[in-house]
Amino acid sequence: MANIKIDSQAYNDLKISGKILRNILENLKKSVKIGTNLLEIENFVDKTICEQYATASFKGYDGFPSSVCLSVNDTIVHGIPFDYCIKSGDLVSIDLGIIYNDMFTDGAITLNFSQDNQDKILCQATQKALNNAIKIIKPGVKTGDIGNIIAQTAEQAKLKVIQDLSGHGTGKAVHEKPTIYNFGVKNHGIEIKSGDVLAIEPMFSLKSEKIINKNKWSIKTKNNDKSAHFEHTVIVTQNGVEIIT
Amino acid sequence: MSKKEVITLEGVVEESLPNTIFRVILENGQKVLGILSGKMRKNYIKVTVGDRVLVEFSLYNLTKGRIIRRI
Repeated sequence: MANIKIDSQAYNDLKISGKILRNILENLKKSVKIGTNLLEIENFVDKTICEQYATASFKGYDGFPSSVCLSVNDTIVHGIPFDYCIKSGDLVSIDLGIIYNDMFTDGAITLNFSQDNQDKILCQATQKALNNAIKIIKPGVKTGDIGNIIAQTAEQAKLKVIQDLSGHGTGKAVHEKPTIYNFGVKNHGIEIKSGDVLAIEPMFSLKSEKIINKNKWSIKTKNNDKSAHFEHTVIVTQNGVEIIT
Repeated sequence: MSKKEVITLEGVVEESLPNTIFRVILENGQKVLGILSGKMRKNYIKVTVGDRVLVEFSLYNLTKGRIIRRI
């Protein structure tokens, strides 16, 4: 688990890495529209990361072919960009990882191009679960507490939590310990300490709790229903958390 | 234990350990220990490295589970 001291060089690098990621995602939020090709997004991300002297952490990770994960509708995560133009009614999840001076950050957003009320609730509830989880994190909180609040938010919105996927520690590698499941029992699990770098990522779907993985990468919902995914990298401080993406 | 307090996750057997214990890599990349369930032993279901298995966990400990099926 990456544990960094506030005001150290690693902390500053991590903040720059987070800033690059945040800027890219905010740019994409404004520029991606109905009709945008997924390959255009991939090119834009590639170009922007190179301009900022950073590296995409997903490219080449265990053989992953692209810099950004673009997951459309029933694809939950790890979608590989392909020749596809975004249509009305799509949910597009953009997941991005940045390395700056060997410090890793991870962030994701889901863009809603659908007018359907259910899809709107799905995106809002997932975002709310992430915010709720971030609010309760402070030193001494356990991973079960984080999972429990995420699961409760899903239950309130009558949505399903994807059980097989989880949040994780990050900072000095793409995935580190601890594993932060999106469900759990209060006061159980690994204790969070000050200085820990965590990637919290609630993933909800309309009906499926289980996944299917037909090729090595793209993970889809079992019932082919839509899913949403939001993610932030946070540093745990003495009093709470600092969101860096 | 009530059914609500268990959860089943899918994984791949990475290593076979003594006493029908296996190291399993879950879909999220986490390595966990899985012990063969009674029904699997009773029916002589063989599990080897590389097999996809269903592992049942208690919500109170998500690092050790019971291998309940080979898929």
